[in-house]
Amino acid sequence: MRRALVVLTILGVWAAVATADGGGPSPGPTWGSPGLVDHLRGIRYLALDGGTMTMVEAVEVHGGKVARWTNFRGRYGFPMVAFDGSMGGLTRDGTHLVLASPQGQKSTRFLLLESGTFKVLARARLRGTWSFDALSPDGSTMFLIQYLGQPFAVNQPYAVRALNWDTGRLYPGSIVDRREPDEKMNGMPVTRTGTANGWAYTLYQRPGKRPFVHALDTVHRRAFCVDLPWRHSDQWISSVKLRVRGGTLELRNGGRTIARMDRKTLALSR
Amino acid sequence: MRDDVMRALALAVFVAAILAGSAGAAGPSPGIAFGSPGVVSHDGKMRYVALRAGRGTLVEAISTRDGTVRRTRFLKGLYGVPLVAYDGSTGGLARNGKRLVVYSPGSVTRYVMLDPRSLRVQSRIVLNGNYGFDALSPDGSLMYLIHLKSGTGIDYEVRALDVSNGRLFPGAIVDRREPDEKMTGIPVTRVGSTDASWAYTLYSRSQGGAFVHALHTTAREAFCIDVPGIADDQLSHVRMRLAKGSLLLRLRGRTVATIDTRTFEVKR
Repeated sequence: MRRALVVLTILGVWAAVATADGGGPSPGPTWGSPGLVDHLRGIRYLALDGGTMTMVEAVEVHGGKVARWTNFRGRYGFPMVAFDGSMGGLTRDGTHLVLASPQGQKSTRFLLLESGTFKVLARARLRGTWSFDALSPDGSTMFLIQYLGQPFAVNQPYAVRALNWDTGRLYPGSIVDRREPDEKMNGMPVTRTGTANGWAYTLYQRPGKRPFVHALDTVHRRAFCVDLPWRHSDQWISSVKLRVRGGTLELRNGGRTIARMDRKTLALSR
Repeated sequence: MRDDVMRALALAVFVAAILAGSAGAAGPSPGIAFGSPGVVSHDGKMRYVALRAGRGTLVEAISTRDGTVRRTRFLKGLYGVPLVAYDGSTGGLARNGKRLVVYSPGSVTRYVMLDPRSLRVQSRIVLNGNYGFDALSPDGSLMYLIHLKSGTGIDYEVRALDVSNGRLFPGAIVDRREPDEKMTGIPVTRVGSTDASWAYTLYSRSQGGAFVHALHTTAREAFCIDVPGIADDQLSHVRMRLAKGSLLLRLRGRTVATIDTRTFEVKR
């Protein structure tokens, strides 16, 4: 019962943040605010439901002027990558954007856009249910979550895959922690932080099991899963945030650092 | 003759430049605008824009503080935020913040009234004929329209409409001091009083010269004030400002005419 309540709470928070689609290992694409923010340029990118079209627009953060907009046939949203509302789909240098179609369909579509013009640079259509996970810093590699169970099932197994935007093809095999290649991935992404050099750190919650940090190296296509020591953390793990400070990943709750992970050795300390 | 050609050229360039960023017809009404700047609420906190979405329009309320889209409303058909002058001045938002007007121009003109707080549709008004938007009364109950009486766009009249029943008031809004004078010209720039009860529009006459159209938006009255002495090729650069009971017409940082807003006396 408690577990169900926690899951409902997380889903409730997610629903309050934006209109999103999907469930399970990824919140899926979102429509409306907050969208993706390019802090360097002061631009907020938004995808809005325009009937049978998707409206994509660049809005100036200060002043709210619509700098440019375009329409795409079909439904696409900007990807949410964790249930706390963390967003993905914008390259570090702000030059490329990824839009994703809703999950739970026979196929999932992705668009790679040039953010300055909204020109479509590439399209990808994958059979089955997929969701966006991360982009490499230059936008050439997109990391995806491939659903291995029912699209909307919670706690279902999934695989992390990589797609080469230059060829439009998936790299063979899934991105696994080579130290534990047979361990099935499952869980719900709670929160996400990243680094300029392409690491994406995601805190996952697994009902009834220990949470873990998924450390994805988006440049070298490798990942590490670091189990956290808290077996009974369902009630509070959803309020944990991640922060990178130099060589350390800090896990913080209520303004307090509750654990540190050495980013090089992946060793945990209090 | 040479002056006429120069004037026509200057206006054509001016109008073309404005139309490049908007959608609408040349003439006394600039038509409608899609995208920014849209129209900003009196307190400056919210920007309302209309964006073309296929065959429809997405009307958005965007926070000016952080650029988040707070509300949206999809409308079938193309509706834009009203332009009220060729310098890009926009209108359509009532001073009290309780009515937003977007419209679709054409031989049949369609208006949609929205509640700016929710973007819910309050009412729709369809008028046979080409009616451009001119102004709203502060509470949004009266809407002033530019009625094009011929296809040339030269002959027009200002009409008032009761938004509550969608009906036009009888007769045109004319300067009672000169009731027979035909309205001609194109709106160059617009400024409104703080309480939105007056809308002052600088017009460039098609036969040369300029005048300010002072519209009392609650009393359904208007006054035309001739403003001599501004070269036609300079008119597009004139901007207006209200200060201490005066309407200042400014050109490149210099006041070129001052109009007493009570007596409409013009001083240079």
